[in-house]
Amino acid sequence: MKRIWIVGLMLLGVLLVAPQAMAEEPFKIGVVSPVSGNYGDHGALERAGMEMALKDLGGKILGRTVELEVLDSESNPDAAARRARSLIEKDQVKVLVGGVSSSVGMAVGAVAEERKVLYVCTNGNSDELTSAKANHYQFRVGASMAALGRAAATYATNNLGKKWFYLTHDYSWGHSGTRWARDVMEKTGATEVGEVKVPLGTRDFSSQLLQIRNSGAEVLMITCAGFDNVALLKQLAEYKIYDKMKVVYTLMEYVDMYPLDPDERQAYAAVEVSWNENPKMEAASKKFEKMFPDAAAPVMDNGNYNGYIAIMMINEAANKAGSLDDVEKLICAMEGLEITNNLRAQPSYVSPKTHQVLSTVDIVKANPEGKGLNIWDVQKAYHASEYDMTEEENPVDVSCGAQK
Amino acid sequence: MDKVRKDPLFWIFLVFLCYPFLPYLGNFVSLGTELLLWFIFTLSFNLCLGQTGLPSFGHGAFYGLGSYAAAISFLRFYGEDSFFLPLITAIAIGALFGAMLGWMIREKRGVYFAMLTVVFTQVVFGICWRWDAVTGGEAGLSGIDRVSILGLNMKDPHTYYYFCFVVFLLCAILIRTLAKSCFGMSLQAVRQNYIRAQYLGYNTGKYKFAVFTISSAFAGLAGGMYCMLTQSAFADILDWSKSGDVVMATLLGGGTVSFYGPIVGSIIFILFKELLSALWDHWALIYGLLFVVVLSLFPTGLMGIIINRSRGKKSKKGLLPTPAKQGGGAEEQVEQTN
Repeated sequence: MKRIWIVGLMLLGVLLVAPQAMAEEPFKIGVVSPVSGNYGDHGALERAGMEMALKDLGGKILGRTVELEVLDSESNPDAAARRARSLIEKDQVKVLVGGVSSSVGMAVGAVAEERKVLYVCTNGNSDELTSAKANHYQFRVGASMAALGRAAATYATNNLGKKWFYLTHDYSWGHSGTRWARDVMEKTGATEVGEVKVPLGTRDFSSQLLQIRNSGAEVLMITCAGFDNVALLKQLAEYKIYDKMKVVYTLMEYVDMYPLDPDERQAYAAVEVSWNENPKMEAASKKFEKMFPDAAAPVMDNGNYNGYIAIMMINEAANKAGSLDDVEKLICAMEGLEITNNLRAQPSYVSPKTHQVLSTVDIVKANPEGKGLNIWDVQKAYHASEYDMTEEENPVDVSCGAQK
Repeated sequence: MDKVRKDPLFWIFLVFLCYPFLPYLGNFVSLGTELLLWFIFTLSFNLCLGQTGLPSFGHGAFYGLGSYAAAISFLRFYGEDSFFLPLITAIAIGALFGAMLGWMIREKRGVYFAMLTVVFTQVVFGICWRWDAVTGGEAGLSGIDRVSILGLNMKDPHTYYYFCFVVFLLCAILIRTLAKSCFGMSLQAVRQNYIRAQYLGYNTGKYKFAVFTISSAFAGLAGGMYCMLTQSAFADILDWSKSGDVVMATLLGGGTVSFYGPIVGSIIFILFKELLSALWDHWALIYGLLFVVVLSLFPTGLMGIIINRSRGKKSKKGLLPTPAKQGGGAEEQVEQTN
């Protein structure tokens, strides 16, 4: 019995010492991103975007080799926080990126604040990330639901109809999409004819769609995401909702619409980026497709674009600060940063007070005639700086100036 | 001294006393803290499963409730200078809900008992996921701070580690004392032969209720301390799959035959989850295979193998009977070794 304990302890010792031999010098960026779980496919896309950005930068920032150290967030905030801690303690990372879903972003953001490391949240859209849960160490690349919801609603009220029905995913992200669309609706004289909230995990929308079909609405405003939305997109066509009204999404992922049959593609949507919005983006999409031919969305889409921009942003901030190691300098350099290398028609801008990256938001219309990757066309571009929360709506200030 | 050296708890004490100074793992002190909290959680869970034979497959509910109790009480009632009060609240809430559920299901057995605990977990999960105003919904609760207590800076991960270390030791001694007491022996009687225990005059329902409440209180404490570790509370830890993790870790380690089984299982589970997952995304496949292989060949788990090896040489007590050979369930005759 005693010998077993001794052998066990020796084995444990060997296992613990062995990895130390592999000390590495490159600057490590910790990536907390879903490999598994509900957003596993989105996680693969954002990591691909980061890899592409690093390749564009020649693998170096400020002349220093940069490596991405990836840990699985499991699409789960609890696991994500643990992984973030692991990266900070075990790998001594000073910069964290990644995060599909807002709850994961908030969890990692809280760890970043606790351990005083920089965190760039890539793909969380909830308003709380840059309002109630904003902190000095956290930046957010993806557009807020305020910007997306208002842009979608502005387009809808100007072009599609004045009687609206809401279909909302019944949790905080879904509520915020509907909230901001409703905000525009009330200001522009459009009217609400109803709302149904569906719990997360709903795959059968038949009863809701029958109710919506008979509601007399001109516009169906949807805030619904993930695998539930893939099922919903199919059922919208099956229940011939498009014959009765225009369908508008406050946020849509390319990967959700890409697998649909052409005649099932008829919705309008706000997207953070569209691969065919300008020649620079089209060229980047072709490069992406070449690098990652098996990607779920073989073009620049919300997920991979935000991953790409996160790395570009760190690069530009490091160049401005003249340091990659000094977290406080990086944060202050990031505030007010104009990201010119952003593949868009207009530069992106980092709000110093909220740490929100403000970029263009596109309104796209699905194209049933489109061949190959042309599943939608851009109808209108709005800049998020005009549609994000105003200072009255969100008085938060986490800037370097406010810390002093 | 010889008695102390033979006590596995002494070796666990030594290893975890030195944990922050170990090469490689020592850099990752939060992992050590999480391990200690998992030890408390699994040891408390094993009071139900290993000691009493209660398949409480939704035990994660009490861990999660403890986490939320600490977070909500810290943020809404006690304020930023509090540390012990949120933890005491976590224990109280764990015990309260454990008592409520325990009373309702005290006469249920087997699959009915298991399913009712799972349903309870999912109800609590649903409430925490959707009740935005109180639990923060999907975004959870954050902003829980660890303050200095008695001149000790709890914000420092190493200080908090040693705080958890001391609490773990106290809990382990307490749970072991409880397991060895007359009360613990009576629980074993309930597990070994439910009907006979009733005929002997034991009020099995009350024993089940009591152990379920005590176990939930410890789980609540572990959850509260986990909330202080992560400085946040999320509904995801209430998901039924998390409750499955504690069952798997306890069975793999050999919780049905040894007090230390849950600790062994926890070490394997957490190290697989945190270290192997960094090397290979599909770590759960290896863990699952390990679980299937060990439990198929050695139903008494890893500690069962060690105990059998030791007994095989001394041949005094004879090998452990496996639950399968005994028919399993409440009629199982496996003796729990302390």
